[in-house]
Amino acid sequence: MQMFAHTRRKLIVGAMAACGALTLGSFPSMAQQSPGVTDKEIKIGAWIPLTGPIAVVGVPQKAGFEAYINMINDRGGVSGRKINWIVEDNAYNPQRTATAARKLVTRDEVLAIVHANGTAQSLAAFPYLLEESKVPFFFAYAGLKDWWYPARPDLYGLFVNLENQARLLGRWAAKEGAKNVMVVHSALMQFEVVAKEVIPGVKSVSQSNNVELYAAKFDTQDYGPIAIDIAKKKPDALIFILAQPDIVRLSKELAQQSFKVPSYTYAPTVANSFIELGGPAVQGLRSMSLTVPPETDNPAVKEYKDALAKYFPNEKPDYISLFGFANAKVFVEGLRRVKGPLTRESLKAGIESLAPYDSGILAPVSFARDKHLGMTATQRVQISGNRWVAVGTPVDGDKDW
Amino acid sequence: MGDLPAVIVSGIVSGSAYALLALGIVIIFRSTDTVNFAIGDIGTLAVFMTATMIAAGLPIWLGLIAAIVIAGLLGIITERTLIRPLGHSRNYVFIALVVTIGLGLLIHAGIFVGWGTRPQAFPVLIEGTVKMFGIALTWNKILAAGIAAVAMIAIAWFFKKTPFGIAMRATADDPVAARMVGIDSGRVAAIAWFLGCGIAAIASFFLAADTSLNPNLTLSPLFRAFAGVFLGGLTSMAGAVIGGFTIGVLDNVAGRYISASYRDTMVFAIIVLVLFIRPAGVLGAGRKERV
Repeated sequence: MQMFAHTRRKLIVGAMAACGALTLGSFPSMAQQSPGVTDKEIKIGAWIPLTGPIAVVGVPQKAGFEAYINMINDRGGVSGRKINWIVEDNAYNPQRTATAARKLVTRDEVLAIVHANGTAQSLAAFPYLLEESKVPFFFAYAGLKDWWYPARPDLYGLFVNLENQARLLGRWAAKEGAKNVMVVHSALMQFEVVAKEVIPGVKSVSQSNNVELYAAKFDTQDYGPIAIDIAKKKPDALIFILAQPDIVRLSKELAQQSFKVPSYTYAPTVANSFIELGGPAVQGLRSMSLTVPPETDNPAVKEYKDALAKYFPNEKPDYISLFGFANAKVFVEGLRRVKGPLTRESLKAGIESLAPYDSGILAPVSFARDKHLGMTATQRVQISGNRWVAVGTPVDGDKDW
Repeated sequence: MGDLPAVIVSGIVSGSAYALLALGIVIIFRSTDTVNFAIGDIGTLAVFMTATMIAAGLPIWLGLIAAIVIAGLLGIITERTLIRPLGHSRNYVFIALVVTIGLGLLIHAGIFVGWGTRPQAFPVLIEGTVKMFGIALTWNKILAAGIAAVAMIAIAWFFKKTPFGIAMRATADDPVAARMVGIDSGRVAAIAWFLGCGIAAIASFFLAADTSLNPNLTLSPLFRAFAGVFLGGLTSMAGAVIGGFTIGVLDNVAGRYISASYRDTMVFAIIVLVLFIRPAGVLGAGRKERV
C-alpha cells in the first residue's frame, strides 16, 4: 500500500513537470528570456522618495517618467513588449534603498534599475547592485563626479553631476561680482561633498575671492538663528546646497530679516511648486535647469504635456516631471536600438549607441563605451514673477565659460 | 553675543509651537494616563481639512476655529473608540502608547492618500513683521506665542476655578471616589482629549502658516515638544509650557552661537543634564498627581 502511494506521488510530480514544460513550450511569452524580459514584458525598477521631505521631488519625477512609459505602452510597447516600471518608496533613506534594491533584483528580477532617486541612497545600493549582482543602473536622479570618471561598467547617467553644478554656481556668483561667497549646505555627506566644489568655481574667477561653508542640520525647521547669523556676516552672495523645503524656510527667514543678496542653488530646486511655496522670498533666485522650460513650444514638450494631462491630470507641467519624461524617452530610445535578444549587455550597447541623440527636452545626449554620463550642459535660470526664466545660453559643467 | 536678547526673543517665539503641543500632551496624560503620540498628526489632519475649507472660501480666522473643533472631535473619537476600550490593565500606559503611535502612522498615511505628499502654501492669519531687539519677527509667530501664553492661563483657570475643571482633577486623583460622588469620568476624558487635540491644532495651524502645510508638519516640533514636557515635568501643565519655550530658546541659542548642524545635540545634552539632577522635570511632581 505504501509502495503504491509512493508510485502515485511520483506519477503526479512527473505529470506536473510535463505540464510545466508543455506550458512553457506552448506559450513562449511566459518564459523569461533574460532577467526581467519576456515576449510580452520588460520589467525595470527604481527607488524614489514618495514620502518624507524629498517627496516634493520624488512625486513629480515618478509622474513624468511613468507618463512616458504609459504612453509607449498604450502605443504597443517596444517591439511588442510592455514596460513594467516597479517603483519602491525609499523615503530618502539609504537603508530602505538597499532593501529596495535587493527586492527589485531578487524578487522582481528586473532587467535594470532606471531613474532611481538619491545620491547617498543609491550609493548604499551600489555594492549589492553594481558589484555583486552586476545589474545595470541607468539615469539616476543623482550623481557625483566619481560615478563617471572613470566610467563604471554598469552605471549610466543623464543628471549633470552635482559637483559640476556647484562649480558652475560658484563661477556664476563670482562672475556677477561676489567676492565673499557663503555656501549654506545640509550637514550630510552628499551635500558637503557638493558644497566644497563651489570653492574652485569661485576661485576660477579670482584667487582672492573668499568662500565660507556653513553647515546646517538637514530638514531644519527653524532657520531663525541661522538667518540672523548670516545677516550679521553679510556675504556678497549665498549659494544654497540644501533640499527644497530647507531653501524655502531659510529664504523666508532671510527675507524676514530684510537680508537680500544674489542667491544661487542647484537643479533639484527648479520646480514651479518651489516658487508657489517660497513666494516673494525666493524672487530672483538663480539656479540650473536640466531641461528646456515646460513652457517651450516644441513637439517634444507638447507630447509631454499631453501625456501628463492624460495619465496624471493632477500634476501641473513642471521641470522635475519634464526631466523624468525625458529620461524615460532616452531610455526607450536605447531599448529600441537593441540589436538581437534583449539582455543587460545588449541594452547597455543600445544606450551607448545614442551618440548624439536629441530628445527635444534635454541638451543633446551622447554616450560612448567609455563615456557613461550622457549630458554635461545645463541652462542657467532665474525666478522672475511666477516662473523660472532662462539666463543666457546653456553652459557646460566640464568647462569654464 | 551682542544679539543675545534678539536670539532669546526669536527662541521664545519659535518655542510657542512646542509649548502648545506640550500643553496638549500633558492635559491628555494627566486626565487619562495616555501619552498621545498621535497628537501632532491629529492636529495636522485637522489643518489639512481646514485648508480645503479655506480654499473653498472660508475666512482664515474661522479656519483656525474649525481646525480646533475638528481636532477636538477627532480627539474625542480616538478616546472613545481606541483608548477607552483598553480598560485599565497593568500595562495600560504602554498599550495606549503603542495604539497612539499606530494611529499617528495611519493618519499620516491617510493624509498622503487624501492630499498627496507635496507641501502646500498656507495663508497666515496676520501678515507683516515687527522689529524687536534689532531683528524682525513675523506677527504670525508673535500671535502663536501670545495664544500659547493665553491658552496656558485659560487652562490653568479652567482646572482651578470652574466646577468641571475641579471635577476633572477629582477624577484624575481618584476615579472611583469621583464616580461615587456622581462625576462622569467618561465625560472628563472626552473633554481632556478635546482640549489637548484642539490645542495641538492651534500649533499645527501656525506652523503651516510659517512654512508650508505638509504631512510631516509636526514631526520635528513634536519631538521638541516631548523634550519640553520632560524638561518641565510630565505632570505639570505650566512646566510643559515653560519647557516648550525653553527648548525654543536653547535651540536658537545653540543654532546661533554653537553650531547650526549640532543644535539638537546641544539642546538634548542640556536636557539630559537637567533630568539627571531632577528626574521628574523642573516643575514635575516626584509623586504622580495627575490633575
